[in-house]
Amino acid sequence: MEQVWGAATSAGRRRPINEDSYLAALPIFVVADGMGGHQRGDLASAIAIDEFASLAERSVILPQDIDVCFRNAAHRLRDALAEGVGGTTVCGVALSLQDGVPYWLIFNLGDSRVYRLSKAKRIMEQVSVDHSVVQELLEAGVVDREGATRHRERHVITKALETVSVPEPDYWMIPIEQGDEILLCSDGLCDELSDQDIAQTWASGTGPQDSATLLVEAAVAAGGKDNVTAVVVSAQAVGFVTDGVSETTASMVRVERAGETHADLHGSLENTSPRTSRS
Amino acid sequence: MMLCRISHGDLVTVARDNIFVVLRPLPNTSVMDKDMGVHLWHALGSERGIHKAIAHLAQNGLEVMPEFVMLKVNPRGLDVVVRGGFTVLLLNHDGKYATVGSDDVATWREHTGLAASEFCVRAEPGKSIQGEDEFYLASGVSSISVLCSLGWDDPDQPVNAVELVETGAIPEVELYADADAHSLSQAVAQRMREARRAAEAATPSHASFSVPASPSSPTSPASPTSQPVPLPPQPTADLPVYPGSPDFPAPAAAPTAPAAPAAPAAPVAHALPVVPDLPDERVVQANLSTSMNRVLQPLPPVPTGEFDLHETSGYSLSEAPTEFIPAYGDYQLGGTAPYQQYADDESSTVLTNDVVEYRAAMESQPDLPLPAEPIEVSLPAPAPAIRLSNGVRVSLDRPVLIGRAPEASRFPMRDLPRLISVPSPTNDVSRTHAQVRVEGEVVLVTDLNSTNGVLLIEPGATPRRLHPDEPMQLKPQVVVDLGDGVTFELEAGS
Repeated sequence: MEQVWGAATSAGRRRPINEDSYLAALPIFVVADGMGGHQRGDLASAIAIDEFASLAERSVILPQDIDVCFRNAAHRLRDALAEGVGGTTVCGVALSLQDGVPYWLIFNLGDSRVYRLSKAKRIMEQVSVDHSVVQELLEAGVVDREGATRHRERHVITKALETVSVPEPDYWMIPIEQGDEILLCSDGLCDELSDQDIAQTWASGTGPQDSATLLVEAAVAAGGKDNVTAVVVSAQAVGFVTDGVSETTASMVRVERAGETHADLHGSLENTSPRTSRS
Repeated sequence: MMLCRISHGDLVTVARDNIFVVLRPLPNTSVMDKDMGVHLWHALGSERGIHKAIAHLAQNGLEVMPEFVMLKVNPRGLDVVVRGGFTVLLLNHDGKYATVGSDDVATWREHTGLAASEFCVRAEPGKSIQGEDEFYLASGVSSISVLCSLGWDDPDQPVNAVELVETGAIPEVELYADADAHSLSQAVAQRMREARRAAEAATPSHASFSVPASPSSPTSPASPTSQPVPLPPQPTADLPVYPGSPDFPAPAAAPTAPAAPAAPAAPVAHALPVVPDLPDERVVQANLSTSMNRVLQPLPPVPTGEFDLHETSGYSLSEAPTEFIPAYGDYQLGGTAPYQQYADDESSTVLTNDVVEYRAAMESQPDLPLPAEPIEVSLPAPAPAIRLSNGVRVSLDRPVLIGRAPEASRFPMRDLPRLISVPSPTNDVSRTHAQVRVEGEVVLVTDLNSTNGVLLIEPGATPRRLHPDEPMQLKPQVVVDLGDGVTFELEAGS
C-alpha cells in the first residue's frame, strides 16, 4: 500500500523545547510555528491545530471551512490570552473538490512555507508567499534573495494568527496532478537549507515519510538553530478521499457525459496546444 | 438504508445515514446551490443533525427559508419535519395510509415517532420536471425531483401517469424505507426494466410511465415483506452500488416482488450515494491515522460569552413551534456554529472578531453619522449567471475562472473564486483560460493570457479577439468562445 503522507519534527540543536505543532489527518494537513517563546507561542499553535483538527472527519474540504477554522482559532486565542501577546504561523494543505476535480487547497499565514514537487515535471516550486518584512523588501526590490537570507530582520513576520488582528491568510487552489507532492515546513527548514537542498533531499526520499525524515535530519545536521518540522503529502491521498466520491458521482457523471469522470486526477496537465490557424 | 428516486428536477436532496432531506430552493437562487447542499450534509452528520440543518436553513430569516421535508428514521418511528408544498405519505404496518403535510403553517410542522414501514415524499402534484445536467459532488446531494407515488395507492389521488423528460440519464429509483437488501435490489431491477420498456414504447418526444390504478385495496398492500421501521443504518464500508452503474446486480432469479407493477413494491435497499466516512479498511498503515505531534493539554474552556445557537433555541423536536423567532442577532454573536456565513450585512450586532476593526474604525471616525430613519434592508438582487455550451449554469455571485483545470493563486477569502473545469480533448483550451466577474452593474470577461485566446461573437458582427488581461464587458447574447467547442454566454434575464 502506498504511503499517502509523512511527517517529522525536531526541536533542533539549540532550542530546548519544540514549539512547532503539526496536524496530519486526511484530508487536512497543517504546520503551526508558535511565536515568541514563553508559553504563549505554544498555546497559540496548539489552539490552531485543535481547530483544524475538527476538519479531520470530512471527506472533502472547501475554502470556507478553512476560513471558519481561522476565525474560530482567533476567537479562542483572544479569549485564552486575555492579556499579552502570542501568536502562531499557520500553513497547510487540504484536499478539495472544485467542479468535481480534485484540488490542493493551500493556505498560509506567516512565514512557514508550502512547496510543491511535481515529479512528472521534475520541478519544485514554492507555492506560498511569506508574510515577512524580508519578503516585502524582496518584492520592492530593496534586497535580493541572497541578501534576504542574511537580513537581520528575516524573522520578523507581518501577518500571523494572533490576538490583535483579524486573520487574513492567502489561499491557493491548484489542480492535483499525478506524482504531485506537497511539503509543509516551518521556517526552521528553509533557514538551514537552500531551495536546491530541499528539492534534492525531498526527491531522494523513497516515499513521503522518508522525505520528511530526511528533510528534518538535513536541517538539523546543517545547524538546527530552530525547531524544524516537515509534513509531506502525496497525490495518492486523492485516492482515499475520492474513492467514496467517484463511486457516487462517477456513475452519474458517466451517464451524463460519456466517458468523462471528473473525479479522476489529471495526468500531468499537458500544455495547451497552440492552434496553427484560427478563424 | 434508503433508496432515492432520482430523475431530474428542481429540488435538492441531501441524505446521510438515517436522515433524508428534500428541499425546494427559492426561485431566485441557483438550483445547484452546492454550498447549501454540502453544509446540510455536514450539519446532518452531527448530533441533533436535523436541528442544525433547520437552523442553517433559517439563518437568514423565514422569508428566505426554502420549503423542505426532513425525515429521520428512528427505531421508534419516523420523525418528520415539513415546510411548504410537500406531502409525506406513510404506509404503516396495517397497510393503512397516512399523509403528513405542513398545513400551510408559517414555519413548519414537526411530527415524531410516526409508525410507518414505508414512506414517500411527494412534491406538488403536476409539478413539471426539468432536466438539469449538472451533478453535484458526492454525498447524496443531487438535484432531483422526487416523484410522487409511482404505483403508490393514494386513496384520494391515485396517480395514473407521470411524464418524464427524456434525458438519457439514470432512470428513476424509488423512495422507500428499507428492509431486506437482497430481495429488494432484485425488485428494483425488475421495476427499472419495466420502466425502461414502458419508456421505450412511448412516443419519442416524451416518455411516460403509466401506472394503472392498483386493483388491490389500499389496506392490503401486495408487499410481501412488511417490515417494522428499520434501525438506523450503520455506515457501510461497501461502496454503494448505484443502479445506473454497470456493477448493479442483474437479478438472476425471479424477483420476489409482485409482478403487478402497480403494487407498491417491497421496500428496496441500496445505500444512497453517500460518501462514507473514510472506512477502516483503508487505514492499513499506522501513518494513515490522525497524527498530532503533541498531547494537547486541556485548552482553556470556551468562555460564557460565546454560546451555541442550539442550546438557546429552546424548542425540541417533539413540539411543533407555533412561532419561531429567528435568532438572527444571536446567531451572529460568538463563533462556535460552523456554518454561519459572514455576510457583509448592516446588522448592528457586531461579530466579536470584528470588534478590533470596529474599534479601529471608531477611533478614526469619531463622528459616524447616525441614521435618521430606520434603514431599509432589501434582499440583494440575484446574481447574474452564465450558461456554458455543455448546459452547465454557473452563477456569477463570485468571480469565475474557466479552463481545463483552472488554478487560483494567492487570494484572500473575500475574493474566493469559483473554478469551473471544461473538457478540451485537443488541449485547445488553456488550463486557466478566462475569468468572468461582476463589477457593479456590468459583467466583465478577461482572457487570462491563454494560448489560443478568447473570441467574443456578437450576432451580426465579426468575432473580436480579446486582448490578454484586458477585461471587456460581456453583454447579453454575445457568445464567448474559448475554443474546442467550449462557449458560454450570459443567461437570459441576467
